[in-house]
Amino acid sequence: MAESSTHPNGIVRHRPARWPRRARMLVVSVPYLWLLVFFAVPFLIVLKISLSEPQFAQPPYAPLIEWGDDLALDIRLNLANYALLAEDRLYLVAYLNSIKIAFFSTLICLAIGYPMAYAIARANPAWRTGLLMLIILPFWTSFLIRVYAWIGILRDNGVINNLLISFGIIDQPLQMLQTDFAVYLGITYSYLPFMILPLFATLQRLDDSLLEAAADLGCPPWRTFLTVTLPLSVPGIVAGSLLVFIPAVGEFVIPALLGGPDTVMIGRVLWDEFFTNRDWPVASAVALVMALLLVLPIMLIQWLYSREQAREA
Amino acid sequence: MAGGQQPTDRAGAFAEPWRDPHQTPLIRIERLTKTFGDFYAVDDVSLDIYRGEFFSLLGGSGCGKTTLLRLMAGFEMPTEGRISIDGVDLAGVPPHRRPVNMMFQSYALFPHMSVARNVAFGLRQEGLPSAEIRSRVADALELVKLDRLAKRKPHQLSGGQRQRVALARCLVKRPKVLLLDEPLAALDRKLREETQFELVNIQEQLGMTFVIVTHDQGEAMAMSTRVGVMDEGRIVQIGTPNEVYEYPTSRFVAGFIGSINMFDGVLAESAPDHALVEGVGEPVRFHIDHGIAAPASATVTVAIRPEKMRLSKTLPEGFTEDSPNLLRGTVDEIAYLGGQSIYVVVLESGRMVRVSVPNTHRMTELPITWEDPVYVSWPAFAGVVLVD
Repeated sequence: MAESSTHPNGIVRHRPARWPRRARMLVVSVPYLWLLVFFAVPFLIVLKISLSEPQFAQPPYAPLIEWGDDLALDIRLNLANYALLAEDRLYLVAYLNSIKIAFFSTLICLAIGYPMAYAIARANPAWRTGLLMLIILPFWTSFLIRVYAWIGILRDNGVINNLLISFGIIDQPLQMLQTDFAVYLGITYSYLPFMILPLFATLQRLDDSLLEAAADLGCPPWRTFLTVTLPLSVPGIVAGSLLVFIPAVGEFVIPALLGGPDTVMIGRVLWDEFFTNRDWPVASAVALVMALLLVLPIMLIQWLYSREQAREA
Repeated sequence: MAGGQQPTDRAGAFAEPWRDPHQTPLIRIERLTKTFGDFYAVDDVSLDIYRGEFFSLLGGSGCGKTTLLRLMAGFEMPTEGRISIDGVDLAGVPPHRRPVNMMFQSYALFPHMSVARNVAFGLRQEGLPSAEIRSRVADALELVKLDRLAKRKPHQLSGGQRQRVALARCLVKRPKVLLLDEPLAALDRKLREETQFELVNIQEQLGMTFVIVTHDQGEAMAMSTRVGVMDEGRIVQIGTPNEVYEYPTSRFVAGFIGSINMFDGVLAESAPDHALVEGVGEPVRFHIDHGIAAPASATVTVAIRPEKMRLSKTLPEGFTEDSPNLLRGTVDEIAYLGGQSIYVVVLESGRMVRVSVPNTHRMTELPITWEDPVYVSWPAFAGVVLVD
């Protein structure tokens, strides 16, 4: 629907068709609505629950706002849940352990994923799509089933132990399941594609002539990698690392299925508080603190990054 | 600066070492072939380039000129043949150990480094003391007039400035040979002309050997000591700009460089001091002022540059109606270009001839205009006879 206006000297000018204002508002409002319904509202509910007192009832927490007997508004904020997080070392240990496991898993993913992404980006274009498909292929099977499959591989009479025993390399099965090793393995296996894909996207955009220019200026290949390729792939490294680190911190399924009783991660603590202890307020407080612990550093990184960009422009 | 002069043919001011059999070339390319699958990108090329030359590889896209340059830089390995520089065979020498530097068409500046860091990059690889690096970088930036922008990043520069950084980054290494891949292609026309002169000046000032790849014949003519014209992977002619323009050896070179009128003919008479060619399909005879090394009645092509032809309404002086080197036609088109006008004359046979006429007088009305019947004539030295 082109708007047209008549110029003073009789020339009719056509403007490209524009969406009417209301339609534009509608399009823009979809993501906001989504965020409101699936992020802001649940977040506020969790915040509310975390400030209430637990009780044996349905729901298992006391209302935050009540009309008192004398019709006065009665608001009871309970900060004891947060105080508990600080007092009981369990939570601190779980947080730190989660961050530690997520951090090292991210490093392992980076160490494995970078060469893979590099190889795919440098591969013959005819092969590239196929190789990328192989990276994405595991997503066609449910995440849960893939983690279960690792139990069959790692357990005492599983594939690996049976093979090693039948070859006579060991005579007692190796304890692999229910160890930190299994958790690292599970996280690395599950999240590796999230590291590879952004790295691939960055490395693929890397201009070949930059590498040729470096070689031309007397730079041997390994040093070209350190001085040109690596610095220019930092955005991919950051994106991939965040995509692995953030879900790994809150991971529940992998430590629950592959980890042992010693592998305390915050996701499991959260689960226990909700479903074993039925202490929703403490569980909500754990969830909120975890979210803040993740969001604040990321916001800080983003802010530093955008300031750097602004300074350069 | 060159004082704004047109550097028409630099070979005159240059010692022309290629004419001296005692000179040894700096770059020696012998029977070089590079194939990609069954495609011959470079096909049996042999070429000597001498110290201090400004050598242009000229040709259309896909003629193999860039592949030849990349073979010298070491980014491609030859299928056959060899390249040596200063007597050292470069077979198997990786790019980072070659005594050459290349300026890329895309400039290939490192986007995460400042101008100064980009220029210093090559010197750091040599492990020079940092004081020396700093002074050499400063000199190089001063040479390309970028000393004030040393701290900028490439994305903060204009196209012309980026081109200078790329140049400085190569020059600072003081290579034996500087390879330039379409160095001016990304610049706008005015800047391109200015930069041509600057490149020539820098090259002369530093006494370096430049090998440049270009598709622009004007660029090649203006800057080079010699030009190698390439077609389908082969070098079809090597010569000074003047030689390639005035004495093309094939229809391809004649047609590729400048514009030219070509006529088919048969060699009717050949003596040591002159030759006569009978036109085919055109009632014309060509009188040539030198002998032709071809058997009588060989089919030949006579090529005549538009600026060597004269246009007149009456029979030109010294000519009769059946003189050689004379054609009749009518003016079909006129393109007024300021300094000269291009006339397209249509002959009785229907073919077109281009004649360029210098506008030496100031006039508003053209003495010869559309639809005028005209004579086209040329002197005996004008015709180039090509025996294909």
